[in-house]
Amino acid sequence: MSFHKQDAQQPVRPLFFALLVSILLLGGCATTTNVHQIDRLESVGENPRIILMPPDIRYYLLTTGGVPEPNAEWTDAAQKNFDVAVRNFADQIGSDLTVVDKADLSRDEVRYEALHSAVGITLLENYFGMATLPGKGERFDWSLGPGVSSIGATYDADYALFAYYRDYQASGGRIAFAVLAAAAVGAAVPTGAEFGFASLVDLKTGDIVWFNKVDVGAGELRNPGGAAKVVDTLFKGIPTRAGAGITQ
Amino acid sequence: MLAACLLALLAFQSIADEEIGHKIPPGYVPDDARDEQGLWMEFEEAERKLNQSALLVRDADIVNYIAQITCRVAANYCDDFRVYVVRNPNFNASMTATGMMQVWTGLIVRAQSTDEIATVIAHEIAHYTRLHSLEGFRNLKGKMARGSFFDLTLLALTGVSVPVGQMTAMTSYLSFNRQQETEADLLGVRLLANAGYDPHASYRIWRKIIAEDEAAVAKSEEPGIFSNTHPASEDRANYLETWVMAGFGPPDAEFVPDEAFLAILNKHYLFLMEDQIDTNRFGRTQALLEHHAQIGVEPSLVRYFYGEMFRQRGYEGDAELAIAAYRHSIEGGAAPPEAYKNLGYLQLKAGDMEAARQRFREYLEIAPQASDRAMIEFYLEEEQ
Repeated sequence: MSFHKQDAQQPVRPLFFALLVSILLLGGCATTTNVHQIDRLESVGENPRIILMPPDIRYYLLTTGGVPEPNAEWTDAAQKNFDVAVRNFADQIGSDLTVVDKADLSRDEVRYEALHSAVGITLLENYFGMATLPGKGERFDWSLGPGVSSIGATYDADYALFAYYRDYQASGGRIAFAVLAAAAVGAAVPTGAEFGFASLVDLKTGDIVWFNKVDVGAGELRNPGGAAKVVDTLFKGIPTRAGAGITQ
Repeated sequence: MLAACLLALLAFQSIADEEIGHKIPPGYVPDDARDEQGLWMEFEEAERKLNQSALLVRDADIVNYIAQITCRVAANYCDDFRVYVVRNPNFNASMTATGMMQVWTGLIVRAQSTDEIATVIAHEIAHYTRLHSLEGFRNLKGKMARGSFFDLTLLALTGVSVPVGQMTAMTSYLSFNRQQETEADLLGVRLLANAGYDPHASYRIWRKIIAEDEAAVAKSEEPGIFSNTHPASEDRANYLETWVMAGFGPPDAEFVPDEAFLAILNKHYLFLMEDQIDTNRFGRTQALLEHHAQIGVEPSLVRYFYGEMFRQRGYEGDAELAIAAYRHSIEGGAAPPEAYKNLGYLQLKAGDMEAARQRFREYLEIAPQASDRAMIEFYLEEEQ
């Protein structure tokens, strides 16, 4: 609750809401897309050393009138399942993966976590989305900046993996409303959405060397099996030391 | 307009008639309700990020000053709050259901006293103890659901597809929100007075904000600040004054800014005002500087920012005004080193090399560790 409302200064995130609305309206017509700048991982050591930054995952209940309600229980389960699934995935591709605990993050790391979410949402809007940037064209040269190298030094790692995921589950009331709307007037009421993205960041340059986005049908993080599917889809095509991207 | 005022007055009276108290005890933790748990999760995540934000003011002096006011107003709720002072030149403060309170630096530069800062904090604490975030969220959910069904029915019956129901829901939600604001104002004044602060500060601060808005509008920098959820500033100042006069009587003595507040403002004035200057809202900045001169902020500092304002504005004749202001600041005896440097730059621009060189030398004398020392030395050598 704020003391004073001023039009220009409210902490609204118009891009985020525009994105949410476009996903709620258009969900289903997009496909998995990934882009990369490198084909294989490079490391001075035996195995490329990758750290997983705490993934930014959130689950919402989409209530009858369309107002999303954050859900702590689902989010908690999703985070735990994702964590397990990522460790399994790392074993699978033969990489040394260190999972960074949220509680241990330094000030800079928290800021890079937030920066990654912001850059990723910008990518969804301005690279994959409708609002492409004329100056950038098809070029994929996004970066978190060379300051990230401090994270590389802290963890003695070559790459950092960042992930972001949002899921909107329709409530019973929302589904009833959608069914009623379809039956009565043939209107399609959005009944939820899911979308996410992951980045592999080169810890020497800060460049996003690989990026993948997923949307509707990516899976269900609230159960372990679903989480494995999400992780497979989200990290599909990620470069490995051997060179070939993982294909499922 | 008259009708709106009457409505606001009626709404205010119906609220004022009932005693507005706290809805939760100190040390409140959310119950098992799913939506409340969810809101807490969101706010806790936001707080984790805010804790590491580059915009957070970490100066113990300022943070302790605000935290002490908070604790005094909150009384036995003191432990429920974490206070964050955030670099933002606009006038605001906010509170979440979890007790994360943000105070923007723009509030500190707009207040006239510790009591005025306390009045804003008391308002935020009242939002917290009356569970306004949670109740607002529940209200919105319910209204949007009913609105959606209304729209569907309308569409099915008439074939007209206009989101009247959802629009009505939003309007009704905003009015619910306004009622919460009025509640927080009234409970806030009680908390303020109980803590021994001056309840008259509650409307004084609004009069100040109105004066600044008017200065901005007169300069046509922006339209008047229009508010949907908060009672218009004028209404707010009026009902608070009426209520405080009725409940506490007229102020005992003429208003004088307190020493503690002035000390904080003087000590941190440079960084507090830097962000305001960068807004490029010159009408507002000027109104603020006039206000600071009036309440007794160190004149050299205020004059320095007049210089900054003219220099950034850059209208015809502003360079001369800026030069005069920097000179005036230096004459005051407590000018910041940047007054010498920026005066030097303007003199350099005006072609007065000798004067500029002298200012640069003075700058380096006062601030030998300046981060732009090499740059200044370059100028000194180049102009020889």
